[in-house]
Amino acid sequence: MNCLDYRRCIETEPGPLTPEMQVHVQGCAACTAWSEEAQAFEARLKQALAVDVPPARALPPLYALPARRFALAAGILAAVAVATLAWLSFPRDTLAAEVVAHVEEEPQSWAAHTAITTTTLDEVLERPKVSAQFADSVSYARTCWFRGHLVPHLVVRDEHGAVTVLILGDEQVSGKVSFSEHGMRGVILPAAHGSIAVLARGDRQVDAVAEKIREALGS
Amino acid sequence: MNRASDGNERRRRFDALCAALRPDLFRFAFWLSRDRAVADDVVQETLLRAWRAMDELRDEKAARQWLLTIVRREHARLYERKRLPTVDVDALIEREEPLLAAPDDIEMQDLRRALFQLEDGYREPLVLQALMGYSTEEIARHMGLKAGAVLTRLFRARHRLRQILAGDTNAPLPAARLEST
Repeated sequence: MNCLDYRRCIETEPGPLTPEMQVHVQGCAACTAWSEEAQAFEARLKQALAVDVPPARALPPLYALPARRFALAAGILAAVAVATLAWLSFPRDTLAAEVVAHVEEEPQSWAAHTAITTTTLDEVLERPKVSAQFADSVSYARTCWFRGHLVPHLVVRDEHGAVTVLILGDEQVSGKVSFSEHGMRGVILPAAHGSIAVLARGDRQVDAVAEKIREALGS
Repeated sequence: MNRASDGNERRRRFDALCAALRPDLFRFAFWLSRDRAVADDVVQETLLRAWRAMDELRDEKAARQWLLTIVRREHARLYERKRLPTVDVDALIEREEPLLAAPDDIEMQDLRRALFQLEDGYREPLVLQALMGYSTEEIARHMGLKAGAVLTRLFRARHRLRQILAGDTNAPLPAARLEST
C-alpha cells in the first residue's frame, strides 16, 4: 500500500485501520501526521452534524403520565377548581395551553377552504360512521402528535366560520374548560372517550358548535 | 393478553423508540432538507407512518435503519407533493442560523455552513457514515447505489468540504482519486 491508497481509504472509510494500513502508517511519518489531522477532522465533522434537536412539536413529554381520573369524592371539587383556575390564570402548562400551542404550530390548517374527501377523513378518524356526519364541512384533517399520542386534528366549517377540533382520546377532563389565549377562544369538553377541544380564532363563542361536534363524535 | 393491553404495550414500545431515535431522525431529516421546519414535518410524518406500520418491525434493533429509510422516503415525498421552491444556499444558511450557530466556535460554524453548501448527493452519504455510523454497504442499500459509487461520493464529499473550508468554492469536484503525494 502506498500513501495514495492509504489516504484514499481514510478519506472514504475513516474507521479502524486494516492490517495493511497499519503496516503502511507505521513506516510513514507523513501519513502518520496526515492521519492525526484526518481523525481530528472526523471528530469535528461528527460534532458539526450533531446539531441541537429542538423539542418535538407538540409531542413531549413522551413519557408524560396520562391524565388520571380523579377519585369520585374529589371529582366535582377538583373539576371546578381546575376549570376556574384555567379560566382565570391560564398557566402555560395546562392542557388548554398545549391545545392552543399546537394549533398555532399549524397555521396552514385554517387556510384550507374546500371540503376534504371522506376517504381522507376516514383515514384520520378511523370511524366511517362518524366521518359521514362531517361530510362537506371539514376543510382540514390530519393525524397529529399531541402529548405523546396520535390525535385527529380537524377544521370544521359552518355558517359562522371555521373551528378547530382536536379529538383527545387520552386526555380526561372532569368538566368543561373554557379558555382564551393568543387570539383564540375555545372549550375542552369531556367526551365518550377522553375529551375534545374546540377552538376558533377571534371572539367567536364555540360552546354551541362544540356540543354539536361532541354529539356527532359520540355516535 | 386482551386487545387493550396489547394496544398499550404497542404504544409503550413505540413511545420508547421515538424517545430514543428522534434526535437521529431529526438530524438526518435536517441535513437532507437543510430546513428545520421541513425536518420537523418529515419526522412527524415518519413517526405517523411508522406507528401505522409498527407491526412490520420484527426486530427493534433494526428500528433506526427502518425509520431512517422512512425519513428518506418522506423527505422525497414532501418535495414531490409540495414542489418546494429552490432556495439559495445563502438564504438557507441565514434562515437556519440558530441551528448552525456554535457559540465561541467559529470553525464549527464554518464547517456547518460548508456542509450546507455540499451537494445533496454527497451530503447524505456523509451524514449516514459520519453521524449515523453506517457502513458503506448499509449506505449503498439505503441509497440504492453500488458500494463503489458510495465510496466515490464519500471521498468527494470530504474533498469538497475541505475545498469549501479553504474558500475554494468554485474548484471543480475531484475525480475519485488523490493526486500523488
